[in-house]
Amino acid sequence: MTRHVSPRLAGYATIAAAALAAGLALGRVELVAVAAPFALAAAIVPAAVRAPKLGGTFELDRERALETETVDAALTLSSPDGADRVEVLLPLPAALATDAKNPTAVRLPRGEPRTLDLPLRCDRWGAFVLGPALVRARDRLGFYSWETKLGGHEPLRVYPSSETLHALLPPLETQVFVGNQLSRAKGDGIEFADIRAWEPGDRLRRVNWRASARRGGLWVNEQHPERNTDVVLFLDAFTDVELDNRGTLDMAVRAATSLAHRYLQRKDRVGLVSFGGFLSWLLPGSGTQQLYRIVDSLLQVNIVLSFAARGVDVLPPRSLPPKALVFALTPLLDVRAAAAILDLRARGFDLVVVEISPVPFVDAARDPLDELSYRLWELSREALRARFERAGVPVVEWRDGVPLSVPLEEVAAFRRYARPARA
Amino acid sequence: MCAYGGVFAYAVEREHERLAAPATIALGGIGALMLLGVLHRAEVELLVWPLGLLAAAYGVAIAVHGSGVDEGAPLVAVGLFLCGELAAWSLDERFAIPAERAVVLGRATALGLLALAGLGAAALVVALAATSVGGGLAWTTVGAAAAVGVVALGVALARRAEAGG
Repeated sequence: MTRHVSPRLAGYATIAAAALAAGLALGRVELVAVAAPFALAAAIVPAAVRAPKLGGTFELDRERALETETVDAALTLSSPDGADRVEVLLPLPAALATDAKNPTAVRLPRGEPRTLDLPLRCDRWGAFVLGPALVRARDRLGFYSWETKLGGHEPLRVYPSSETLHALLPPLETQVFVGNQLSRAKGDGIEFADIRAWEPGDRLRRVNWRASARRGGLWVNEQHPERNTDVVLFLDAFTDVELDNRGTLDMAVRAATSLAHRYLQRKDRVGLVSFGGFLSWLLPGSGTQQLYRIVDSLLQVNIVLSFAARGVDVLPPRSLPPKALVFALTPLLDVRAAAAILDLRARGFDLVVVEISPVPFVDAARDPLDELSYRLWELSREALRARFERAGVPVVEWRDGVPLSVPLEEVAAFRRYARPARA
Repeated sequence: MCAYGGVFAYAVEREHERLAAPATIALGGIGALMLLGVLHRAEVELLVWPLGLLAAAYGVAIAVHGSGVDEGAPLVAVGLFLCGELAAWSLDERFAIPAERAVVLGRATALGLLALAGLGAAALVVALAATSVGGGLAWTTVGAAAAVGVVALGVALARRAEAGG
């Protein structure tokens, strides 16, 4: 516990001493009287004040929450001898807020624990460590103060809310495992695909008797098998453009969460690659556990400034399985990310670029020079987009405030009318 | 500021002959400006200076006034003390830490009690001076010892403050 003494205590002693000395020198009792309250305060307060013994715990009612939810934090303080004034502050990150008084000053009765409730409103996703609380005890008049920290570190993970996506983008090719995605290939399945002439080895139950009767020979049904998809969320974490707590990384994390949630619901395998100054990946997997892994991993994504040249060749091959549908979530601001995306296309991945537009987060140009550079910047972005499109990669722009299903529908339309180019 | 203004007005009013009125007004005025500065800039370390200047202004007024004992001295003492404490309280409130009622009442009570004790001590000093006890040398020695003791206390407190901070 760190102790501080108010400078006015020494100041009062100085005033008392000076007034006494002046009273003696001038022979004026009034100055001695003036010294009396100051001398009394300087003498009584240090003798009367004792350092309080403070104890306390800090607890959260849960470790995980969704955005906009409220988590209850409880800070329990106690002092066996009591404390006249205890100021408590729980440092909160910008993403968390409380309507309760923080900081606040309370009185601790002797031996009675006191619990301060702080309902924490989760305004934004993130992984946080809350606590310890900063505590400052003071004597009644504020001459002495003691500072300490109480309570431990409590982790809190706030998950981003996911958007409702009614339709998901089908992959060009499915994987070999059973899932909910209809394969383009023909095989054993439920969904009818075509009929063909009977061949030795075809089972009797596959015979289409109506077609056989009409055509005068045996014809069998063919089905599309139900397969699953490997989806890789490729997050560009090189740069972030922010304005008022909203930014491209924030949008990318929200999009990745929504996509992971919906694809995993459909029994697909989803993996994650965070490609930036700090490289991380998560091998594709399925199930609720994988969703938690992905979201936990997304919460750790941070922009780390790096000038190191980096390509997709540094990623382990299993993180990018063949025939996977790769969603590149990028603001298209870093040339390394753009080069990596083109590299993925060249490797034959089914690639979709969701360009998270940084334009809404950039201030409008104010003078002609700024306007010129702004236009040049936009032109360079157009050129990059055209480069992707020439390589057969659908690039859709996603702006803040627009539902994610809109760019996904644009990709579906692109695929409907454009044949995938073979790189 | 009210407590300061009251003591300042009293000190100026005390001086009937107007011999040292400019000095009293100057010291008190500078002190008032300093107090405003201290409150504005929240410099609690400098709080002692306006109090000291006002005490000096009062001392000048008393010294010029003559040999009679000023019976209002205990009130002046408590006024100065309250000025310092209330200024410190207002500076503490700058941190915008909402305190519950019991905390505010506790401080107000403690301040009131300390001010009353100070008033009593100052009144006792003035009352003792009014009675003719005799033995001027002995009283002077006791007074000097008290002054030395208070200086020693101030030095000790300053050292503890430095060690704590």
